[in-house]
Amino acid sequence: MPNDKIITGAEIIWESLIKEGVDVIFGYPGGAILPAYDALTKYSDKIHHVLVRHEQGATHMADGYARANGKVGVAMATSGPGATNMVTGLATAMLDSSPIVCITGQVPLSVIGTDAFQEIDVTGITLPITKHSYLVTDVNEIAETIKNGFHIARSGRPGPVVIDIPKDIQNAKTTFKYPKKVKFFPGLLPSKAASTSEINEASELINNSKKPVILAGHGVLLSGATKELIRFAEKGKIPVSPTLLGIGGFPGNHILNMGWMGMHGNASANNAIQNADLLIACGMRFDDRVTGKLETYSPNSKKIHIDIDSSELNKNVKADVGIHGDLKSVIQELVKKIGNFDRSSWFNQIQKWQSEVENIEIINKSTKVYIAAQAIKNIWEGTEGNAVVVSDVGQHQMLEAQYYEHNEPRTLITSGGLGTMGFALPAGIGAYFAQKDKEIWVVVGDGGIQMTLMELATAVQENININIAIINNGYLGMVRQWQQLFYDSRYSETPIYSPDYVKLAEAYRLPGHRVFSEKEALMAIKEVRKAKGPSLIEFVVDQHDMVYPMVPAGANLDAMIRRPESKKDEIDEKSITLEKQS
Amino acid sequence: MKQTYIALVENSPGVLNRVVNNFRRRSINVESLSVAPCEKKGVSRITLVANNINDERKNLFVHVLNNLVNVIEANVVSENSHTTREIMIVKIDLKDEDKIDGILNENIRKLKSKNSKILLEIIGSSKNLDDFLKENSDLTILEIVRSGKVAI
Repeated sequence: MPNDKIITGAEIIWESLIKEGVDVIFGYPGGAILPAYDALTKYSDKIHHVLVRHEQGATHMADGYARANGKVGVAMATSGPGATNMVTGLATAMLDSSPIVCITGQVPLSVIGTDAFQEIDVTGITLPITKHSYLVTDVNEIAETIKNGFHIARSGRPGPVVIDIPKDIQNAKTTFKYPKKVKFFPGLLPSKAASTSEINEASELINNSKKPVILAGHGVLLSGATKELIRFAEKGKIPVSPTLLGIGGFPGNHILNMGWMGMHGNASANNAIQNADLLIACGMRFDDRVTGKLETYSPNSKKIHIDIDSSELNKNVKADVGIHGDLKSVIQELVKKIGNFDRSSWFNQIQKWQSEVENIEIINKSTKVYIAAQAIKNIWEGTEGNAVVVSDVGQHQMLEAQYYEHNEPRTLITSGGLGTMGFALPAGIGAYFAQKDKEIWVVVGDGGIQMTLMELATAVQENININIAIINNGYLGMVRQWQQLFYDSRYSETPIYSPDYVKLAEAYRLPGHRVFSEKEALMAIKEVRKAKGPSLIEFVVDQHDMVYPMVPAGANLDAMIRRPESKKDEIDEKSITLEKQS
Repeated sequence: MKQTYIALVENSPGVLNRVVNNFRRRSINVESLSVAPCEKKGVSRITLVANNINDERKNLFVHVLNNLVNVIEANVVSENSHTTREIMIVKIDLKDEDKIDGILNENIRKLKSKNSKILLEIIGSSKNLDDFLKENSDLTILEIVRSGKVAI
C-alpha cells in the first residue's frame, strides 16, 4: 500500500504486522477487536489467522510458535474476558523469556474508566507479567507502537508485549507510514560486549579448574550459541549439563553431555555440579528447581555467570565473575583464551556416577505393566529421535526430558518457569506453524490435556500434522508423587477421571488410538506417523510409578531420592487399574 | 535498612506504576517517593526511599529498574555520594507561638499564622527533619506533611 494512503487504525495493525514479517496469527474475535477482524478480510492472503477455542490457547500457540523458530509469535483477542484469558499465557511467556506480542481490543477511548461493557484494565493486569505493554491512545501511534513492541519482544532477554488498542482508535483514519527505525530505548541498549578483564578473569578460572562443569541454560537457544558452546566444551574438555529449558542447546548424544540438572535431572550431573570446582553458567538463572538448597549448592566451586540480563547476576548465586552480555559473543571470546587440559580423572569420576545410574535405570529392565517412562522411550524410538516434542507439566514432562534425547536446538518446547498445565496442546499447534516440515509431538498427561482440550477442534479445523500423546495414569501424577513422598500417601483430590479419549477423538473427528503395551504403542506410533492431519494416542500406563531421581524441595542437590532396587517387582505385582475399553 | 534510589524515567502514563511494582511484588514498603520533571524535556526524575533492603540486595533493584523500557537510568545512592533534601511543613497550635521564635533559622521558617494555627517550613536532610520532630516534641503539632526525599 502506498505510504500516503489514508487507512483505518485496524488496517494499520495488519499492514504493520506484515511489515514485521508476520504470516500467521492466533486469535479470537469479539466486540472491541471487531474493526481489526473486519479489516483482516483484506489481508487474509498475506496473514493466516488460526481461530482458537480459548484465548489462553492463542497465547500458548504464539509462544510455541516463537520457541519453535525464534520469531515473534502473535496472538489477538478482544477486550475484557478475551484479554484476561491471555494472562496465563503471558505469564508463561514471561517466565520462559519467550517473544510474543498480544494485541487486544479495548473499549473506546471515550468510555475508558467508566466500567463499560467488557472493559478491564488490561495494561494494569498484565503489567507484572509482560516485558512491556502499551495502551494506544492515538491512531497515529499504532504503527510506531507495533514496531517498538516487536523490537522489545525479541531484543535482549526476550519476553511478551501487550498492545491494547481501543475500538475507536481502530476505526480512526490516518496516513500509514511504517517507521524504519525503532525508538531509542535506553532500557534496551544492546548489551555490552564482555570486557577484556572479564574474559581474562573467566579464562583464568577455567584454565586453573580441574573439575569444571558448564551449565547450559535457555540462553544458549535464545542466543543461538549451540555451535560456539560445542566448540567451547570440546576445546576445554568440559562436561556440560543443560537446564530443562536448555535441553537441545547442546546435543543430547554428545559425549560431553552429562544429562540435565536439577530436581528430576540426571543424578550424575547433579553429583558433578555439587563436586565441581568451577561452574560456568551460560544463560541460566539458578532457579530453585536447579539448585536445591542454595546454602549448600556446589559449595566448593567458583562461579562464572554469563547472562544477557544483568539482574540475574548475583540474584540467587553469587558469581565470582559475572559477565553481562550476549552469550554467543562472550563464548566466542572465551574460546580464544582457554587451553586444552587433561581432565581425565574428573571424567573418570563422572563416568563412575553414570554407571551407578545405569544400574538402577528402570528403562533397562522389563516390567509386566506398561509404565510412563517406557511410553516416552517408545515415542523416542518410534520417531527416531527427530521430532519436535512439546511437553506439558508434570511427571510425563520430567520423563520426556529424561528419556527423549534431543540433539538439536528448539526440539523440546515446554513450560519450565511457570509450569503451566494445559500448555502443550496449544503450544504444539503453534510449533506446527513454525516448523511445518518437522514432526510435531504433543506429550501431555491426563490432567493437562483436560485443561485445554478444546484446542483439538483448532487442530482439526486447521488439519495440521501433529500427534498428541496422552500419558494417562489416572492421577495428577506429580502431585500424587509429592503426596506419596511428603504427605503420607494421602491422595487428596489427585485421582482424576478422564473421558474416553478415543471416542473424544472420534467426536472431534480425528483418529484416536489407545495402547496398553510397548508393542501396541510402537504400532500405533507407526500408524499415526503415516496419517495426515492430527492424531491422538492414549498411552494407558501404571498408576503408581514415580519419577526418579528426585531432589526434595529445599534439600541439597545431591540428596536425591533414588529408585528403590526392588521397584521392578513392585511394579510387576500391580496391575493396570484402568479398565481396558474396547 | 533504607535504600535511596534515583531514576530518570520517561514522563508518560504508567511509568510510576512500573517502577513501584518492582518493590510491591517483593513486599517492600516504599517510604517516600518524589517525582517531577527534570532538566530534560519529557523526562522525570524519581527519588524513591524503600525500607528493608539489605546491602546484598540493593543492586538487584538497580538492575530491575534499568530493565524497564521507560527507565533511562537508575541508581542506588548514599548520603555521601549525593546531596539530599526534604521539605516538611508542620501545622502548630497558635498557643506555641512563643516557643517558635527561638528555633527559627534559615532552614526553619515561619510561613504564616492563620486561624489560630502556625505553619512552619523545615528544609534539610531527612535526618534533620526527624531530629527537628524529636527535639521539639513539646510543640502541639496538629499536622505534618513531608515532600519525600530528593537526591542529586
